[in-house]
This record gives sequence, structure tokens and C-alpha cells, in this order.
Amino acid sequence: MKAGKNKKGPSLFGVVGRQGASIADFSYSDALKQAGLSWTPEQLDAYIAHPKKVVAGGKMKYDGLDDAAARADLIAYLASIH
Amino acid sequence: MASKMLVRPGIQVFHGISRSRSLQALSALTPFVLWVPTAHALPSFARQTGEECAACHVGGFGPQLTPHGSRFKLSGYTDTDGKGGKVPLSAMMVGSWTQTRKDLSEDAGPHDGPNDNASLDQAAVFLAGRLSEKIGSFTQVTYSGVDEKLALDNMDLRYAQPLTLAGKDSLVGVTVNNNPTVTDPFNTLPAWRFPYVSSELAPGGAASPLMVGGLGQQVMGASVYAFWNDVLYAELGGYHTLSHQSLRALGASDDLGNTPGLTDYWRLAYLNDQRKQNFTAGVFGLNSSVQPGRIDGPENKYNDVGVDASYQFLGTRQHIASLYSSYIHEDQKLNASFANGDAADRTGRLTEFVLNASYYYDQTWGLTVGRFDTKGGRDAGLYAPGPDSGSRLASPNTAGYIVQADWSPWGKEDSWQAPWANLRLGAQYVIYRRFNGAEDNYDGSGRNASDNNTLFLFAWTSF
Repeated sequence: MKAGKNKKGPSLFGVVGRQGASIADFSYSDALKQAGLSWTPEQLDAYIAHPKKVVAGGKMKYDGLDDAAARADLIAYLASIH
Repeated sequence: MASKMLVRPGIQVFHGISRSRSLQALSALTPFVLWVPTAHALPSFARQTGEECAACHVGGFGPQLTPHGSRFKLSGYTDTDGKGGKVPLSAMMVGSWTQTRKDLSEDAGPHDGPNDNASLDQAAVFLAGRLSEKIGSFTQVTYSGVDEKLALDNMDLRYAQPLTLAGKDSLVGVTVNNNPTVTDPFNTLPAWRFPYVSSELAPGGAASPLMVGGLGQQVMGASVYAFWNDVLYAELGGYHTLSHQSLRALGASDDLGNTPGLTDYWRLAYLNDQRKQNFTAGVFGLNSSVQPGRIDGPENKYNDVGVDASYQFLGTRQHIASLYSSYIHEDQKLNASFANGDAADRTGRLTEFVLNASYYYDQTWGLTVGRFDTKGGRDAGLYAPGPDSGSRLASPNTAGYIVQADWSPWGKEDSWQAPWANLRLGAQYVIYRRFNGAEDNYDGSGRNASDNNTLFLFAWTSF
């Protein structure tokens, strides 16, 4: 995971605390741009659990991680990458 | 996949070996080498998506897919990192050295000796990737150094549309392609199963079911598919042989004959993707009528039905283990071959069982062990005695093992020249326990099954 290295999704380097749809050279969906999200740990948790419920019409193809403990581990990892 | 397949169905690989009339008549349907798929690991996909090869492929190299890779394929090869300027072109080369345990009785190829042959198996260019928002391509043109010929190889041009079916996210699509099973998103069906490369200059059993490469590149067709809720995959397609003139223009062989009517192909599969591991189970089939030599009159009819299953442990991707298996049963009605004197019976059958297991460490080091077993009824017309490729017992029964070790140093995000180049070096050994019906003197000329044991060293690169 590298800063500025976007793939099918935007780089997740430093994503915790970042404003949603804020990487200039990534092509976000209109739905995500209009959602006005801020990637707080709580918001990330809700999004990772059910992406399509949080951002209906977004590009995210992942259908969600049900395991709350796994989500917490993932968010803790993301918080360590900055 | 050499020429999509390193060994192309219907193409005589023992170029220098004369065969009996009956075997020649069957050649369109039964390759004389282990039929193997064309293997692909295409950096143009990595450049398009911004992802490493290892995101979609086990071992950092194609064609073993992860569920993520399967979805990319079913999405029509169109997923992208959102940046423009991506050119959907790739290239690939495979070079190899082949040694059989005992020299063949004649040269293994038109430009090769009876043993210890080095060859440029294929040099290929691909139109591979996103052509528009919903249309993508995986189309290969291959130069075979063995045949010294350029030909259209596998073609899979598809349109995919995400939509909601019964309240669940789904993908539906249409593909125009030239090889039944090349469209499949798993690694259990003939077009994409292990071995992903193998020698073009070594013997293989006398027969295999028609859908094991017997139609590839000689037919053109279309299929519709749906992938529902990331769980159920269904596909239905129809194919017809191309005209002799079209095949010649495309550089393809015309060994199959004519297929009056439509050759239908169907597939149903279940996927359970638990992220760290996944398994699949499915059924598939193909029905075709063939007029060998494009002669009007009686037809051969082939009815193939198969089951397949796989298990894959992905974990953290440091240790990846995969298990694949398939079983195909083919019923044959050989009215045309019988009338031509090429078959001794009007009916026949073949079964084929394939099982293989692979382990990859650190997306780099791989070991695969496979078992193959083809059985069929005896037919003195179809399987006549003859040096190397014949059968003393009039039997196609061939079985053995394949062991392969390989090294794929690139294909990861931080690899040298990523995402512009990839490489796999490998050593493969094929062990025959039975060949065309027997272990000893199988061909009636004193050759034993183990004489065909084959060491195949290969270097396979794509960019």
C-alpha cells in the first residue's frame, strides 16, 4: 500500500480520517462524491460492513464483511498506515 | 495456452510420424498429445486495473484464477483504475526443451529430431482488456515455432452488464468466442485447467472427449451467461465450424470436419467464496454432430457430460493451496466413421478423469501434482497398432501423473518492471502408467508406456 498508488479503488494509505472522494486523480462515482463522507473509524466500519447500503450506486463491488472483529482489525491496520 | 494451447486440439503433433488410416480419421477429435490449455498471464490487465498479477492469479502468473480474477473475467475484462490511456495489448513467448525417456521412431516435428528438442512453442500477441465501458477482449494471435505458422488462437470478445436479479447483484453477459469452455471462470474445465503448458513434441494418448480441445479454433459461436449473487454461474452457448476458406484465412487447421446443425454447450456452477478460502462445484456438457472430412452423409454424434469441483485456500496469500478435479463422460455414435471404415463399431464411449493439486509459496514458488486417466471401449478401427502412437490392444486407455515445479519471480506489486513484464520458469515431468491400453509394448512395435515419460523445461514470459 503506497501513498498515491491507486488501483481499482483509491489508495488506502492514510484513509482513516480522510475526507471521502478526496484523491484528485481517482475517478470516484457520483454517488460517493455526493455522499459527503468522512472516513472516521465508525464510518469505515459501516461502509466495510455494507458498502452498497452506505453508498447506493457506488462503484464498490465488495459486498461487505459481516465479521465485526475482522472489521475492527482491518480498521486498526488501516489506521497504522499513514 | 499455446496457440492458446501449447498443444492444439486436432493438430497432429507427431508431424513426422505416419499414422494408421483409422487414427488419421480420428485425429480431428483426438489429439495425440496431452491437450493443454493456453496459459495466460497478461500484463495489459495489470496495467488496466492498477493491480498486481497476483491479485487475480495464483502464483503471480496466469491462468490460475482467484475469485477476484474470475469476477474480472465475467465483468468483460473491463474493470479499470479509472485512468485513461491504457492500451489493451500484451505479448507472450514460451520456449521449451523436451526429452522423452526413449527416442521416438521418427522425428517429433517437421523441424525437430526424434528427441531432445528445443523449440519456440509460441510467440503471441493479445488484444486483451477493456475496449469500452462494457466490452472487453481476450483475443490471441499466435506464431507456433513448431508448426512455423501464424494463426488466430483463443478469442473471447464479451459484453457484460451488472444488474439486479431477484434482488441480488448479478452480472450478465454475452461472449463471442471460438472454443467451448474458454469462457469459463474456473480452472477445472478443459480450456483453462492444468497443465497450463506442456510439450508440443511429446506423445499423448490416442483419444480424449471432443470438448477437450477438439473444437477449439475451428468453430465460432456465442454464449450468454449470468453470475448471480456471486454464487451461481450459468452459461449456454452454440457453435458451428467455420468454412474451410475461413479457417485457412485464419491460419487454423481444418481437421474437425463439418458440424451440421448447432453444437450446444452448457454450464452450471456454484461458488462459495469465503475470502480466505473458496470452493466450486458444477456440471457441464456439450453435444455435437460431426461430418469428418466435410463429407455429406452420415454423422458422428458426441454427447459429453461432466462434473467438476475445486477448493482453494488463499489465507493471507503467502501460502496458497488449490485442488481441482473434473470427470467427463462421452457417448459416441460413429455412423460416419463406421461408414468410412475408420471405426469398427457404430458406438463408442470415453471417460476422462483429471485431478490436480497445487501449492504456491509467497506467490512465487509453485509445486503441482496431477493425475489423468482416460478410458474408452476397444475399437480396432479407431485405435490400430502403429509405432509410437498406435495401440496393440485397440484401446485408448491412458493414465499417469504430472509433476511440475515452477518459479515466478515477478508479478507482484513491487516486482522488477511491474506491471510491464512477467516470467515463469518451470520443470514438468509426465509419467505414463498406461498408454493406449497397455503398460508394455502398447503400440505393437515394442514401445512401453514409460518410454513416453517426458521431461519438459520451459521459460514463459509475457509483457
